[in-house]
Amino acid sequence: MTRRYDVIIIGSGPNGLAIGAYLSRAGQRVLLLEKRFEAGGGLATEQVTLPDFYHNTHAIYQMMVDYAPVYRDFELERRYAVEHIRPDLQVAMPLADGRCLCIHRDVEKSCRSIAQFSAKDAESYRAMQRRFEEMMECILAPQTYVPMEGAVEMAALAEQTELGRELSVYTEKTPQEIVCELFEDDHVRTLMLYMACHWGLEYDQPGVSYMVPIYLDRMTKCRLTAGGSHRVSNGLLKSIFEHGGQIRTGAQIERILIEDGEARGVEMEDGTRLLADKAVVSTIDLHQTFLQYVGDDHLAPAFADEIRQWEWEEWSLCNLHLALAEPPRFAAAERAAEIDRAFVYVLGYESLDELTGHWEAMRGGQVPAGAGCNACFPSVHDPFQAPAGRATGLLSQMAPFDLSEGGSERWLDYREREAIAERQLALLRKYAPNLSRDRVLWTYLTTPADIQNKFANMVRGSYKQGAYQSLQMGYLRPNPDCSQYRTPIPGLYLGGASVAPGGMVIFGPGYNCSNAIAEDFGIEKWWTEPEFVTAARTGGFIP
Amino acid sequence: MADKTFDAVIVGGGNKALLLSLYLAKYGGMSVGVFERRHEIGGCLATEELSAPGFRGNTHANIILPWYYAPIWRDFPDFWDYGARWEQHKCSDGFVFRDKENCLAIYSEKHDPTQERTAREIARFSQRDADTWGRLWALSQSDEFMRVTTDTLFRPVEEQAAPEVASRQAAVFPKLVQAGFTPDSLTLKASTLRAAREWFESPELQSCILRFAVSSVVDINDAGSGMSVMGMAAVLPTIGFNRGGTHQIAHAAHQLLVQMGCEFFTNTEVDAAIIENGAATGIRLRDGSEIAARKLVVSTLSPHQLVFDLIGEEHVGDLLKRRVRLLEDSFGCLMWYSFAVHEAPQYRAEAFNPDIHECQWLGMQPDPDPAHIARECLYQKLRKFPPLEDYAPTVGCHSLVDPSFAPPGKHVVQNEQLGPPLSTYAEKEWLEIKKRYADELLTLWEAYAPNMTWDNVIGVDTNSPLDHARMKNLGPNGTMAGIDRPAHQVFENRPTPELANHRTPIERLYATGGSWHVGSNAGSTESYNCYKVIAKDLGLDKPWEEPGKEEPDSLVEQQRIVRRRVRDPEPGGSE
Repeated sequence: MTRRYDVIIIGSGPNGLAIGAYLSRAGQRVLLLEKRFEAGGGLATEQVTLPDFYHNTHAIYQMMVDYAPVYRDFELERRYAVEHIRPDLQVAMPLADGRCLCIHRDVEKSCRSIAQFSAKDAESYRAMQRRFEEMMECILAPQTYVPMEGAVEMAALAEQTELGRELSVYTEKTPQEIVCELFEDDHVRTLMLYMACHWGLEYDQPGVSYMVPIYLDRMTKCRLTAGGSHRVSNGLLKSIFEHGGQIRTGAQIERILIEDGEARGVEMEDGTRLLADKAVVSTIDLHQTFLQYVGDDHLAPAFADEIRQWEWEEWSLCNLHLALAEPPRFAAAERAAEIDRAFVYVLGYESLDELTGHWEAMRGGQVPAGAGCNACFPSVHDPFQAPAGRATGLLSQMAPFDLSEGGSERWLDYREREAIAERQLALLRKYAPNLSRDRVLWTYLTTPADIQNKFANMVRGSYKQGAYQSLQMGYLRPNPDCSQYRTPIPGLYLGGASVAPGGMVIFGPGYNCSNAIAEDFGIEKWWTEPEFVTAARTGGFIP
Repeated sequence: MADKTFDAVIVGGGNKALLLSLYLAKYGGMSVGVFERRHEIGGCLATEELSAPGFRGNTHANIILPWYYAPIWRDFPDFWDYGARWEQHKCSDGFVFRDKENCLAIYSEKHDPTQERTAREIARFSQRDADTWGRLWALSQSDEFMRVTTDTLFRPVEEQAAPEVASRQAAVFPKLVQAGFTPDSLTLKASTLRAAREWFESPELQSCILRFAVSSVVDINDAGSGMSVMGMAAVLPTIGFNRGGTHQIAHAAHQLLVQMGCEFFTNTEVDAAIIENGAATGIRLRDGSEIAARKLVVSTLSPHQLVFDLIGEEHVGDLLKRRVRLLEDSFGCLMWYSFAVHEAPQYRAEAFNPDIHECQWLGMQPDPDPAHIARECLYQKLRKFPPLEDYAPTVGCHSLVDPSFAPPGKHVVQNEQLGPPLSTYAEKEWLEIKKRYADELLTLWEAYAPNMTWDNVIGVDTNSPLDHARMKNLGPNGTMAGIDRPAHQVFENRPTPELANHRTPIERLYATGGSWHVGSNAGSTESYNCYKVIAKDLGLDKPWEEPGKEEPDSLVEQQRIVRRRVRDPEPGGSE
């Protein structure tokens, strides 16, 4: 049994959906293949605790809603009722002494909060915020939605502008150096370093610290999807269907069909052959793509070796989802009621040493007792997500995949999981004392091992499909042969987090891969270059 | 002024809504708008990873029988490819008996098409039953028998009395007698318990059949359902499930529907129907907006929601209101758990039959006497858990057959047992019961499969009646069939005589759902029969009148096709 398409896309996460949506609307016969029983990948919303409590079981903080072209190109808001909520108080770090460091959308409000800790840091924050926003607007955001150039070209271009030069200087520092040079107060440093690094930057490694301005700018730009993250993937899927695209869920691939050295399609587990007249796109990880579905027979040995040596992420996440009888009331909110309405809380790091100690412990396969986390209570901002008067919650803690005692299997021990849940709840209680144990109606735990169990492409819990280190970023992500979305096999493309610019819900790989396929096959693009990208070209910030 | 207009407005986006919409769109030529309260469509065609990430559990519908989608496969050939893919375990049904350390395995049709192997297993307990089994299986595969069962399933109740139906029933009668099943007054009026004890002598086989009766929301002590024992026994080898999870069926319907231009609105609760001069002209949503229906509105809500919420008391006569209020809806409430586990259960009874762990639907009770099941039903009527000795859960492990249900090297197991109706306990009590029952179940399970301890468990989805109420139409008790299935609430009485043919007191407002004929299943009868009525009333296209699609034969053929397809899958390769 054989069917023909123009483009077959492996994986229906944000990037796969974006590629499917762009190309189906461009008149291509598109098929998405999804191993899981549900499309959307990390854009998942599930009732994992009790009825009518909605949980975003993977991606929750949407960080590029203002820049990622998909939102505008597909009119997700107008056509598919995809709305986003951007709370005023973006990040709050309550402390045991009752103070709270608050970062708002409004810079001045943030400065006033920081000034409680250090007047100098308040000034520094104002300047930093402005500067990083400029870097984002001029360089970093545009760079996300165009292909990467080689290091030499990038360095040369960076030299041409003051902003570029400044960014280059940052890149060669460690995140800790950057944060400690900008700020003097220990608590301010703690919050800034956490927000810069918790998505997967090594605090003491240079080389990719251009991500620091990204994360510190995005700190005040994050949004929650109303109704749950899954609304975004639903919207894209609707567009795909409207333009004749198809999806198979519960679809298990046997191999990518390679004939005469070219990718021709996909063979399924049951023998069905699905042919792609133009392109096969993989948005899943490199090992599945090349080692399992392409196979060594079709790969140059050096390339295959390089793929084998791909580094997975150093740490992943341990997330506890909560069904709560009532919303949290933070002790710190006694001084300022708005603290009960923060978007993201950072809890449990009373000093910079505690934070860096967490990273150091993870390197040894441990999570320190009392380790901090971030927390979010989505129903506070989107009442739809919980029954009236009740609340949903998420506690998200950095955690290594392999535990020194018991390896990754330890994460799958029932009693251990109960103990983890109790520890995390105890941490939350310290800061939000109204959430006594009986106010927590039900919990659901996702550990690094669970992330791999749920998403086969997130190997070792790598939710960005691979470490953010200097040899695996930019033009080197995943390697010079593939970072511009084509691979050594004609007709085979990469469009997921393994390829530049990387992971998180940013739609960068998907957008850029769509462009690459359109260019290679002379497909007329119905979408136009975003204004901020054009402006960056004109300004000489990107090629 | 309507905010939106469709030819057909569908209230609810679950199993019955989706399958009916397929027909309204393709054969009715209608624009269809589907309005769903929850965040996703599919209703009880649901699969979730609630025990632990990566471990799939079918949280509502699980068992799939070959007849469920017969019309859909016939009329929508892509349905299979898009996700509705039937599959079977090596053994479809069975029972393990703690105190006997023996077991009975019913092999699936896929692996035992003639049922000879199953007959040999039954013979270990009773040769007479083995012979009966052989005759019953041959009978159930005959054209005459399948035509009659198909008539019963896929005709609206008002068409069950048609002359051609009666003549097909007359044609099967001598075959029944020949096979040793004479439906006399006693067996027609008996309970399934009583009938099973007469037709089969081994309590082991009786228990298999009767436990499945409970899963079909039949109280085995209830009089009047004795005749169904024959059908239930014949169905046991055909028990199957959907590859990848039940939710794939919803995906398959959804993709077909969007290709036909159907629009879906999730997170959208309907407030009431808009009724003008005794006819439904649309619906009003909770947010106040109005949706106009050019041709009809269809409710897939519960009968109570239909009459009191959607239509409104003032439009409905006294008798119907009283009958809806008196509907019994507390029997099929389930503890329907799934456990993410490191190893699949390994039963001591594998020494008796090494295949027993492969059962999709494996009962567990201390000894073979179906009195355990009878007592469990009695306790359930009292709204109580039975004593532990009378717990008779049914368990199965889909990941043994379909590895996609669990991460590589791991497994997921599901268990079903009757539980008290939701309204029996307050939420706080349920939260404790959910945890306690998991403990009780594992303690019980360990006696049959020593590796089923908490050490083997990664996580558990404590899917109780409290959780079943996530589907609002299963309220107030979370009963899986919507309403119970005693003799006065099935067939032409389901949910009431006034509503059983899918029409309502309001013109252009039709109704279907799990509380309609047949009920307690994830199939298409309720949808297809509703379409038949609508098509008659509105003069729509009728696929069953097309050449080659005459019924019941075309539907009988579809059942045979899917069963062959699973037995002998087509080899891969280009066409």
